[in-house]
Amino acid sequence: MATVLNGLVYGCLLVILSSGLVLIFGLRQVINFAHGSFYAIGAYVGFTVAPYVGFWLAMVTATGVLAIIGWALDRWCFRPLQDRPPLTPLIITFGLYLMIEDIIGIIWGRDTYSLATPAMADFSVWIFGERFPFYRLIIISVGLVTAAGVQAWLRLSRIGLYARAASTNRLATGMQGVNTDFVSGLVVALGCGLAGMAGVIAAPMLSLSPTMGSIVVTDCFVVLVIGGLGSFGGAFVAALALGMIQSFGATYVPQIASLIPYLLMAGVLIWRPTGFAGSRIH
Amino acid sequence: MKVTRSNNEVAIKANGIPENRPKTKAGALLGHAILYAVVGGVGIWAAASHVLGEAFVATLAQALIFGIFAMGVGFLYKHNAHVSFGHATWFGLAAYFVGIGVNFAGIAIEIMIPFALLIVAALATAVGTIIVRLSGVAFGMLTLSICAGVHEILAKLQGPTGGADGMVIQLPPTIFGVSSGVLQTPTAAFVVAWTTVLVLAFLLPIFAETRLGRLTLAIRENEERVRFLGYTTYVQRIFIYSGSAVISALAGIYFGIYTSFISPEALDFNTSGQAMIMALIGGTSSAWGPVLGALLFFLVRDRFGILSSHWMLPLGVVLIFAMAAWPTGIYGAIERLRSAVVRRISK
Repeated sequence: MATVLNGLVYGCLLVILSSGLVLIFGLRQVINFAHGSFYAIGAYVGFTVAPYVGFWLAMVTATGVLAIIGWALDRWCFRPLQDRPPLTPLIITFGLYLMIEDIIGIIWGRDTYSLATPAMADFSVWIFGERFPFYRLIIISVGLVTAAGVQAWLRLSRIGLYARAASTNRLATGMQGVNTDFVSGLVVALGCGLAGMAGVIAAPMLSLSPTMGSIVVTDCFVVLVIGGLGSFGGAFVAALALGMIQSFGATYVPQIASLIPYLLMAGVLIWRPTGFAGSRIH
Repeated sequence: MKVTRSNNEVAIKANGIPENRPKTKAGALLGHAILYAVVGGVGIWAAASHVLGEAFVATLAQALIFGIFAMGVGFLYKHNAHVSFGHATWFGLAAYFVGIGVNFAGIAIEIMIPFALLIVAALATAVGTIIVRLSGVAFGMLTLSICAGVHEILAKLQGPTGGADGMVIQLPPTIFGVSSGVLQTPTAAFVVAWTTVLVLAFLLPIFAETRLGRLTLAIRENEERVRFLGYTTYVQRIFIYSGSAVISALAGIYFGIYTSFISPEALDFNTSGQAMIMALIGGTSSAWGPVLGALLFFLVRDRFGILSSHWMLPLGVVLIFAMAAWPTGIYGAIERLRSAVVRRISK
């Protein structure tokens, strides 16, 4: 049972991160290579401000900081480059990834840190006769609430409607009088903000190091490839499945656990080259 | 969409294949061959006569080996419009194959080198059948994931290949009749790598003029239209992917012999990224572009000691500016400068 819950914990982190990636891909047709780096920045920002303002405000701060970075990224990178071949912004975000990993090393050093679990959640609960840290249950609920919240925002709000319309046909949406650049900026900011939030909530559980982003970003890519690029439902299912598989793998076949995501990806691609959610890769 | 198309047209010009280009003539080819032989001879003389200094030649040798590696990446981009984030897989695996064959199977290294290239070609063809169908963005992510997966396998694989610590390749006393001690000197490594660069830089433009080469360039520009003309397009793309893997594998084998050591670090994601950056900063329109990129990378890194630990930040900045302002790379800039000068003179 603890294995299932641990799988859910990692799966939910991946849900938050990959929904950010899916949002950005939907509006800008860019896979944000620096998404893992934003997650790392979020964790470090949270680590820095948490002693002063407490854990929960630190989470809000990191989300806000990353949302501003995301908005700036859209304004000064994705928007001027939107008429370039789609590889150009991809490679630029790769350059950002290189820069950020080094910058984090310069500012915070290459040592590993860890953020203290917030006091109010620092206890264990008994679930089905096993002790389980309560904090991890919070991660699960934050992940599920985030996924539901983003889904609701996209389905129910007016801006969400614009975002869905713009990701289907940018030009036609713009002709209806929607400011697609504004909507894109908002969505990219939201996606990056989510990465920052994921960084902070993951920080008490994992250790902070400049390379933490590149570790998680490959898993996110596996999620997107399995789930089908640009598909929310696909990414959600794939993220949870990947979390489960890694958790079970680590428990029962620890030697090859880190390989399972790649084997799974190869299997899915041979079986269905466009991922679970069908033909959205283009 | 419209804007993207006009960008493609710019790309055609940047690639140096406007429609009215005269066909390569035998005479021009011969001239090229002589030019390359002279340039190659001068380079080898300079290295062998210690004009350049041992340390500089060592840097050049390393840069040229990575230049060959980046040539593979550039070749793939030029003909398939695919940016590989995982070519270090082929670079490293080739060296591993040579090492395994020589250390444990006792196969002569002279047989093992072509055999390793053959295995890489076969593996890359198998992988290519799945991934060349994808568009640029998905292709990039997938090559990255494959690279991470292979790295993970080799790092976890305890036993004779040494896991994350890597393994020493036990070189025989002579390779192709040359003492391996001599082959491992920077001068010899430079001579081998320099000759290979020249041969590749001579052959790749010829390939681009062949029927297959021109067809792949056409596929790159508009696959649907080429298919409509009655060609298959899938096999050619696999061929290009496999060919680019073999070029990078050749560099990997040189690297393995030069250092007589191979570890999973050689095929991790950062190594792939470096090769990709060298190719893109140098420019992929010509086979020389990636070599220029590699030379720039290594010369700058060796000049500024601080960069050996903080190479990522400046490289990221250069990459971003190059992609945003200078998408044809250094070689493209040289070409533009040259054509501007030619136009000024002919006026």
